[in-house]
Amino acid sequence: MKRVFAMICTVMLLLVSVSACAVEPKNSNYFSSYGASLSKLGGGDIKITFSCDAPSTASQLGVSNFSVYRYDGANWEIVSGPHNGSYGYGVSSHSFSRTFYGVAGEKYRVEATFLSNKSDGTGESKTYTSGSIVAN
Amino acid sequence: MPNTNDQKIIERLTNDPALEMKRHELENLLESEVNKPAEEIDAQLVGELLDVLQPEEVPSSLQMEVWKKIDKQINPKPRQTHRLLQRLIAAAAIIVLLFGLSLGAAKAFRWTFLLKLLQPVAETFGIYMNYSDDQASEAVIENRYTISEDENTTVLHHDLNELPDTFDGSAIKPGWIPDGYTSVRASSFTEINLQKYVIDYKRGEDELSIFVSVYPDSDTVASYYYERTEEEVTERMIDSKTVTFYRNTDDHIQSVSWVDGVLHYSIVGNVTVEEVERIVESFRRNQTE
Repeated sequence: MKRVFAMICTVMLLLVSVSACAVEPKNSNYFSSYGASLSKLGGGDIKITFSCDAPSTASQLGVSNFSVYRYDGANWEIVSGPHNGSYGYGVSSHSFSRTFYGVAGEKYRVEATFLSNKSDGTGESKTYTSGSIVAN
Repeated sequence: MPNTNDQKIIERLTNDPALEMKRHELENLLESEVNKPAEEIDAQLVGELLDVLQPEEVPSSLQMEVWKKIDKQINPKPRQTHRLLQRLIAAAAIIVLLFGLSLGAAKAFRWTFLLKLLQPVAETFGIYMNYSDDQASEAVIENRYTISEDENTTVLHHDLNELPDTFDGSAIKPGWIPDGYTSVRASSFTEINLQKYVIDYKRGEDELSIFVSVYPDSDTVASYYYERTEEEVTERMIDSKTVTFYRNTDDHIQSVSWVDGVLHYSIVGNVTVEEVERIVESFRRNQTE
């Protein structure tokens, strides 16, 4: 009798453990995609466009801050920023643009921090570095 | 002691031509010589006559007149017109020198007010200056490495009809959506290096989003990261398009992407593979309608 009771308890314990694993949520992904486009405007100016998508509606989605770096031939040095970004609220996608006033002939790139928060209070940030572009 | 007459005789006997003439003859000779044009006066003769004649016997006015004429012959003075021309040339040279100095100083010290004033004259002489307004130059320097304020941003639309149907001949809106889903939100973003249209659908707690992106500017550096799980990525041909299937989040969320012309499509949502295929095909049907 005791052995039967012990076996039943063991099976129940296993079932509870399996059930606990099944209901335990997987780590959710807060971003579908994120990145930036850099375009030459002439006169040393660069058009920077940030865009990010979420797999579901985000309570807050966008860029928390970004900086512009210049290549001096050996290293990347920050020349502008950090600047405040932009957010969308209750959306699955958010995009915005800024103009960077640089110097023709210099090479630049952008570093940004994308942020996605859900209504349950959870969220995720991604550090991003763009490709480089030479202003004309 | 010899008398003065004897002395005169002796002097005459020495054949001094000047003394062979009488005084009044010498004076007449002197006067006639002085009355000649300046360039014809024999200065040497005049000098000798003056030497012979006692200076106090020659009137001072005549002396002055004689010396003036001699001096004029020796040191001829330029005519009035030549003097005026020289003065004009000197004045012009001074003006040009001052202009050049002003122009150089203005350019060196960036006195744009002076540069503007001198520019018309400088260009007349073929000197073209490339300068910018002081304030504009200062503004350019101050603006360097700065960022503009907020420019374009995503625009939310409550009506799906506010979005265009096509872009460059390709459909932006799907022709078919799984049953139960209704559009709850649409958004658009337009910039020189990105155009984006997003439609969000909802079916209870399930969500479905369709993203259509356009990168119209070829002279753009664009880099985007697409999040996906470690699960294997698969590709399928749907309606002659290569469609990539991958997982992005938990098991209920399907992510799909493909490229059609200049448009980049993505579908993310709680849909089956078969439903995804029908949605992709519906874009094709939209184009042919």
